[in-house]
Amino acid sequence: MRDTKSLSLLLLSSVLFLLSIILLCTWGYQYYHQIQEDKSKTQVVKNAPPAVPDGTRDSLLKIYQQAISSLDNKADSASYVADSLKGNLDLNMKEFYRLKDEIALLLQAKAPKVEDLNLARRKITELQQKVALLSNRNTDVEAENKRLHAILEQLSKESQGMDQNIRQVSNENKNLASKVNSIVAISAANLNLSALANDNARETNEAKATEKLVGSFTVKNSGNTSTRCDIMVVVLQPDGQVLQKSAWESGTFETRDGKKIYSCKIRCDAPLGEAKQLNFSISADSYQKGNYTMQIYHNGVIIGRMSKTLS
Amino acid sequence: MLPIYTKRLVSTVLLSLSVTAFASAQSSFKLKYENSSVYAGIEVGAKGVKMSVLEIGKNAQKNGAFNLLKDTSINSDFITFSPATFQATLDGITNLYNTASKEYHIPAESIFTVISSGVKVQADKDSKNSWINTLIDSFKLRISEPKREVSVIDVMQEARLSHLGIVPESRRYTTFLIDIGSGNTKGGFFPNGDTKMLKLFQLSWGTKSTANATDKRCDDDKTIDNFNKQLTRVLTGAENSEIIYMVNESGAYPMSDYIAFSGGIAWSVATLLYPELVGNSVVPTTYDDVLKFSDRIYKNYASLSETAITKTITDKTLDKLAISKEVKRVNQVFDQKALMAGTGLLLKIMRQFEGIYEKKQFFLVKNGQVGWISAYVDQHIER
Repeated sequence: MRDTKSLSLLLLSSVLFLLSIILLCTWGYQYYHQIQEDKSKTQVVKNAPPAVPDGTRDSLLKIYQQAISSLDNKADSASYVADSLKGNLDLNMKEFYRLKDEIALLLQAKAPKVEDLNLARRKITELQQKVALLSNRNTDVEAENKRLHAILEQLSKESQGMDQNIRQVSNENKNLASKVNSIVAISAANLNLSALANDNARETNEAKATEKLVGSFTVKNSGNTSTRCDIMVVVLQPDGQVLQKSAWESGTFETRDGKKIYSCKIRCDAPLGEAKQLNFSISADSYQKGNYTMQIYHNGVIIGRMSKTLS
Repeated sequence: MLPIYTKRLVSTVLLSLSVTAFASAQSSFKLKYENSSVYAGIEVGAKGVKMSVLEIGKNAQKNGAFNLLKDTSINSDFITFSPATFQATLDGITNLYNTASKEYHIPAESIFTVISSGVKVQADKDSKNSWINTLIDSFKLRISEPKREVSVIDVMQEARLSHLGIVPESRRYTTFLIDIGSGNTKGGFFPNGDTKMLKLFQLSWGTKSTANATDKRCDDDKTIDNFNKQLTRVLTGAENSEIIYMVNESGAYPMSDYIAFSGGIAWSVATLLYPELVGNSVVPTTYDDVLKFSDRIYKNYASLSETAITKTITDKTLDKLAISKEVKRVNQVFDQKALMAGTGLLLKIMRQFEGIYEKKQFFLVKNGQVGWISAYVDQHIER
């Protein structure tokens, strides 16, 4: 009896053992199968094509960068020159920078979604439009700036010309005033030109006997103030040439008819209202026969003239 | 009896020969003065041998009445003291002497031969004085005149003779003469009322050295605008470092009423600025005139061509051909940059004498280079 009981117990435990092994095997199989399935799923996911191809993303990035770089310089110069349009420009620039940041953010994602890239594409188009708008605005600003610059230049030239005119007129006035004053102020009278013979004492009318020409005249200052003046003496020979005292004492001076050579220059003080006698002498190696003309100039204006004939 | 007749005959022949020679010399040239004489001065200089044929009037000392009839030079570079340059110099001086004597018929006693200070300075420096003596002896031998005087002139003598030759007696003690050369500037005045002692004045700047210093500063930008900019800097440097000090140190300002400039640049400025006075050896000028002229060289150089200048001459009595010829000669010697440099230097020196209250009278001397030789000749003429 005892054996039968033990046998049945053994049988039961064997069945239970067998069942548990079967159960374990089933679980083991299921677990293994599950792992294999997971692995193949992961591989499928890994090998699966991306939602948007790389080329599209790169080209979008390129367009974006071009849009940014094309605007960079223009935007800078625009913001620099467009003082009058600064308000509008600032607004546009803010919008531009906002778009730029958004696109950059969208394109920076490691695995962007198709929707994100589509959004980036729209925003890039929008950015391009903004760039075009800003570029146009910049051209307008530059054109306006050029126009204003030209106006300013013209005004500056006109004002310079006016300044020059004022200065010229003022100078001319001064010159004229001084000329008129001096013309009126300095006058010459009692002109005398004589030829002295070899002994330096006897007056002669013969060219051959002449040793030197001696001249005298009185100048009078009838102006408002005492002055110091340069009187130019021109002695013309019969052939029209100027008789020069010496190279050290002759020179040129300006007249209304152009430059003239003077025979000698006499510097004198002309006190107000006082007549002053001035003398000069000119020696030459030889004297021509004919008419000698003495001219007295002050400030380029003739104030006295006389002639002397040598036979 | 016979010896007396022979003596008379010989003296008559000699007299007529010398009269013929003198008359022949006179007729070889177009003379300016009456009662004047023609002389030749042959000078052995540092660069070559130069001959000046001069007409010296009877009032040369009084009025500075000398007239340059001919100015010839032969390059020989004697101061290198080599056998070749020695030979070239000996040939040069002999040929010029023979030209004066045989071609121009100037009698031997009217031909003066000298060695200039430039040669003496270099010979002293290189201890080559024996070369000068050998040259003089060889020359005397060649022309068969053992008793000929060939003087060696020093710097002081040359400056003194220049003053005596250029400045008339009436202005001798009131004139400061300044010779602006190519490499330096020198001159002086007589401070003590006699001609024995000349107060020497020297500057290390000349027309060429100023132009060279400016050119060096221009680097690659050789435009006239850059030259003008750099010239201003060079001249300011020269003025501050040397000109102001040297003029003050000379003590010429209170002693001089007249400041006369000679040298190539003085001739150029005088010719271009006062073409009407082409025949005058000296022309008066003012600081303002030279200042305007300096501006004209830079801004309107074309107006200084012979065509442009002769167009401005309206006086029909003036010799337009002579003016045109002289202006052309100036433009051949000095280009725009050299003119700018020389005129700039001239202005800087003039400015030292351009006082607010006291103004000095400036003169430009055209034939300064023959001034000293004319004085030498004048002093050696037996009157």
